[in-house]
This record gives sequence, C-alpha cells and structure tokens, in this order.
Amino acid sequence: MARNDYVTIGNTTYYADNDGRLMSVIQYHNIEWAGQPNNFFCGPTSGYMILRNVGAWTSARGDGLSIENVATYMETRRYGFTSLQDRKFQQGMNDWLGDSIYTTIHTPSYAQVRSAVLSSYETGYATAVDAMERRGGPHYNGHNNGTFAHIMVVDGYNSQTDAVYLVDPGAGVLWPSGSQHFWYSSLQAFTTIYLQTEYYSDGKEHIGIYYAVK
Amino acid sequence: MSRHFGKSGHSHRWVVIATVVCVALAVVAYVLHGMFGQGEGASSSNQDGTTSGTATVSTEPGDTDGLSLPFSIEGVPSDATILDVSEGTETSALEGEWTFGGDYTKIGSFPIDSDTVFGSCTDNPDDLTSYVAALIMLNGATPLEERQIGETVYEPQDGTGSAQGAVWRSSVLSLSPTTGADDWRLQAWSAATGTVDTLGTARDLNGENDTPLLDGEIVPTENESNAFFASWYLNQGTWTPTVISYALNEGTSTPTLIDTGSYPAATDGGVIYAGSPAATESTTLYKALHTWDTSSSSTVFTVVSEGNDWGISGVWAYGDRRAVCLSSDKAADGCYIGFWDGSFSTNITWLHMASPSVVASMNESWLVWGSGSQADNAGMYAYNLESNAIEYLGSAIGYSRPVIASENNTVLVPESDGQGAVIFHVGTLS
Repeated sequence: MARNDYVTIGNTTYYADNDGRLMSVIQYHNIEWAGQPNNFFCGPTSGYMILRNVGAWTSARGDGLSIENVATYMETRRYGFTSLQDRKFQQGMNDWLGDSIYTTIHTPSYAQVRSAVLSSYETGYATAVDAMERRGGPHYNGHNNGTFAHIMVVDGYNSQTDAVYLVDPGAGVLWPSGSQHFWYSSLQAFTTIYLQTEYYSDGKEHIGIYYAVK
Repeated sequence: MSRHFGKSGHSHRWVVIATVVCVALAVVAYVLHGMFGQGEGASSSNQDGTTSGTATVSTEPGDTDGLSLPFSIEGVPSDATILDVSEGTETSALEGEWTFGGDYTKIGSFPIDSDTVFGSCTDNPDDLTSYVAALIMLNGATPLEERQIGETVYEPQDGTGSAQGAVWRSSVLSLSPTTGADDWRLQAWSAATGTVDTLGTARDLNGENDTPLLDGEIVPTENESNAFFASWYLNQGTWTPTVISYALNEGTSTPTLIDTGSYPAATDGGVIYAGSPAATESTTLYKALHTWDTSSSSTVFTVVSEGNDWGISGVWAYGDRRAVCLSSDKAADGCYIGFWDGSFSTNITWLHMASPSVVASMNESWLVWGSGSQADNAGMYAYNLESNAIEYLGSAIGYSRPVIASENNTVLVPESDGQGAVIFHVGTLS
C-alpha cells in the first residue's frame, strides 16, 4: 500500500500517513437498509436494522426479529410514535436484548454524539439519531419541506472529515428521491441543526440520540 | 455554489449555463442557432462538456447520434431536442430584488407579483403552532386567517395562485416521529371577498388522521372553478393514490374522486395528471398521462421503457404550455422534462438534468426548478420556453426549491447554507 493513500480492511478504512502508519478514518457497521412499513415506524425499523446487524434474531423473551415485533417492544403502535420522552426506543432495544445496552441523550452536544458514534464501533451496536426538521429551514436526503422528527441509523463515520453515513428507513418509502444510505458532510453540523433544538414548546423531549453503553 | 449577494442585494449579470448535448456537427449547431434563437449571453457545451460559445446547439428532431431518450412516449410526439443542463457557475441577477426571512418569522411559499409573496408568518417563531397563511411584502406580512387554537393545528405549507386568489395545503403538526403522515387540509383564499375557505381535509376524505405522505410534494392547483389535489385515498382498507377536486367558492364540500393518479395540474377546462402507478424498488412512478375534462378521463400518452423502469414524476400546466417530468428508479439516471403545447400536438423540447426528480413550477414563459433537499444537485434553474435560455439561480443546500409566479415572471429564490432559517429572495426574471 502506498503512503498517503486509503485502504479498507474489514469494516474500517485506514489512511496511511507519510510514515506509513495506518490511521482508521472511516468505520462502518455495514447496516443493511430496511424500509419502514408505515408512516410512524421509523423508530422500530431503525431498531430492527441495528438488531439484524448484530444478529439478534430472537429477543430475550423468545420473539423472532421483525419490524412489527420491535415496534411492540417499543410500544410504537400504542403511542402512535416512538416516544423519546418516555425512552421507548431505549426500552425496546434493551428488552429485546435482555440487557441494559442502550441509553438516550436528549439534545446532545456534538462531543456526546461523536463519542457515541465512535464507541459504537467498539460495542458493535449502531447509534440511532432522532432528528427534527423544520419548515423554512434546511432538509436532507429528499425530505419534504415540513416540520417533523425522524429516526435513522448511523452506519459510517469518517473521523478525518467528520462526515457521517446515515441509513434512512424512509428513503423511497416516504421520499422518492431519498437514498437508503447517504453521506452528510458534517456530524457536527447535523448535530447542531437537527439534534439540539427543540422546536415544540410543549415541555416534552422529542429529539436526541440512542446509543449503546456496552 | 451558494447564492451570493452584494451590499446592494443585487448579484451578477445573467449568465446562462445551458449545457447542450447531442452535437452531431458544429455546422448543424451553427445553423440551428440561427433557427432557434438564443437568450443573450447563453453558453452551451457538447457531450464532452466543453464550452462552445454562445450558440444554442441542438440536434435535429429525431437525431439519434447524441443524447436520446431512454424511454418511448406513445400517443404524442416526443422528437424534440434534448438539452442537458449542467451545474451553473455564476448566479443570474433578479430585477427589483428584495428579501425576507432568515429568522423563521416569515416563510415563503410562492410569489404572486414583484411586491407580494404568499406564505406564512408568525410573531413568535418559537411557537410552531402560531403560523398563519399570509401575504408577505417588503415591509411586513398581512395574515389571511386567524391563529388556530386547540390540539389540532395545521402548518400552512405550499400552493399555487395569483393576485385573484390562492389554494394551498397545510399539514397537522406532529409532536413526534410520525414522519410520513400527511394529515392535510386544503384552503382557498379569494382576493375579491377577502375570505379563506377550507375546501376539505384528509380526515374528511379518509376518516382517519394517518393518511400517508404521497410522493413528490404535491401542491394544489386551481382553475376558474375547481381546485385539484392528490392524496392517498382509503377505500375498503386499501390506500390508493388518487386525484381529487374541490369546487371553489362553495366552502367545504365533498371532493370529486377523479381517478387513480397523482401530480394534478389544472388546465382551463379540467386537469392533467399522472396515472397508472407502478411501484418500483425505490419509488412509485406513473406510466401514463391522463386528462380529465370535468366529465371523463382519457389517456394523453403512455411511457414505455425497457425494464419498465421509467415513469412520470411531475406534471405542470399553464395556458398553452404543458410539462411532464420522467424519472427512473435509478437516481443516477437523472430525469427528463418534456414540453408540449396545450394539445400535445407539438413537442417543444426536452431538458435532462442530473437530479432524479425536481421541485418545479411553470408559467407561460418559464419553468423554474430545483432538486428540493436531495443530497446532490442543489442548483436552481429557470428555463425560458421561448428562447431556450437556461438561467442559473444559485444553489440552496437542503432547500433547492425556487418558485415562479403564475401571471408574471417574479421568482422566489431561497438562500440556504444548510445551517439555519432560509432567506427568500424575490425578483423578476427577464
């Protein structure tokens, strides 16, 4: 391998510096995309993709892996959404895994998000983002010009450029021009724009990240 | 490149960046330049992307040496020149330009004239429930309706209209990740009476509050008597994309269910729309263009392609102009927009662009478009149907959605660096 060049080994892309030392710069979970089956199952579908990626084919209670079953664990149908306020994504993942793997951070700092993403390549459990877009502000990946929140999975991260590689369960299903996997140029910008500002003034928590602590 | 603005608020001189392909011979190009005419300052390039001066270079109808359509149109002519649009480099100036926005207090939807934009406004942008439909002007905004109260609040969104009136859609604000729900409401404003009517809602149509979001950011359009829209329609447990119409000036009424389809574009006597939906791996594309004359529907043309992977992803109409966008299920193919006269007897031209679909609007002289919030191709453009000139309006990351007025050449051009509230520029194309 030449110096000042990239090489990919397994799930990690390395960069060889002038001295030939390898630095891991792009890491992936290699999440296989799944489309959400309806308009409010972005949370269960994201959870399903993460669980499938780690081979959690059966829950701790013996249920087979499906989006619908994950939704049941997250109580998504009962609520009509996946509640960050009540930590239902976290609860559903942990109940499925039979261990307190996932936790939630409401309106996280960039440092918290970056740390969560980087540590996910050690735990093996991908991080999910619960992001809010607002009408009159920027949107991404072909999303419509409305106001809503959406849950996606963080697949890859380039620690050199800060670019983040996301898996969007609504791509094609809800937004025809969206890509199932897409790069967003800056995790810091994504965090600032979509994860840190609560636009609803109802006193509840709606946006943040879900990540594995072990 | 983002839209740049000097201290005066004016940008550079018009610069056209039309990249035209299908150049068989330079001589042919030169001759056709004389035949077709050209917008001042236009430039173009061949298939290699090299600049070929200020000529509008085009193929002869039916020429297959250059770029050709990857699909067939059966039922109407489709042999017009194909123009390939490349990324712009220098932003065109707008006459009489002014700006608003940048703080979420005023959000533009579409321009009415050089002084007025339809949109929404609030005194408190921290309260999402406080937005109302409004006419936005240089010195402020005039609300068209009272602030909504209660648990169900609709966010005013996009529509179409003129100085005489407008129709627009809203959607219920959701406090949680219910991404693809489109719990919509249609309203109409009459300038003559100063009143706003609610024409109908998704809840009235489907009896539920979870009507899914239909592909393509559908906006209502209107003619002298009806407003047209498309929505998922729940019939005996099955959701179907359906074109509907509401009578204007009758308040809330029962919609007419016109046909299975989407992308309705009002015409003087009815509506044209995309029909025969076919779901692909990544989206739903429509295989035929239909017309409805208030009593019955008929097919204008059908789309045929190898692999059956091309279909309609947008329809526009104004006066004697028609435009139809065709996309494939592969984003890398980009999309094609075909232009016809009102009777579809003449195919005027084709545009090919890199984005897999567009957010567009059209009047008698111009089609204006962007790529919405797609990851790539944030450029915004205006195509002049008379001169073939293509103007670059700058780029807006995450908000590439310029709009042109229906009765004049005023455009609403967003400015976005992808970071915060959009600034809206209003000015006139010339």
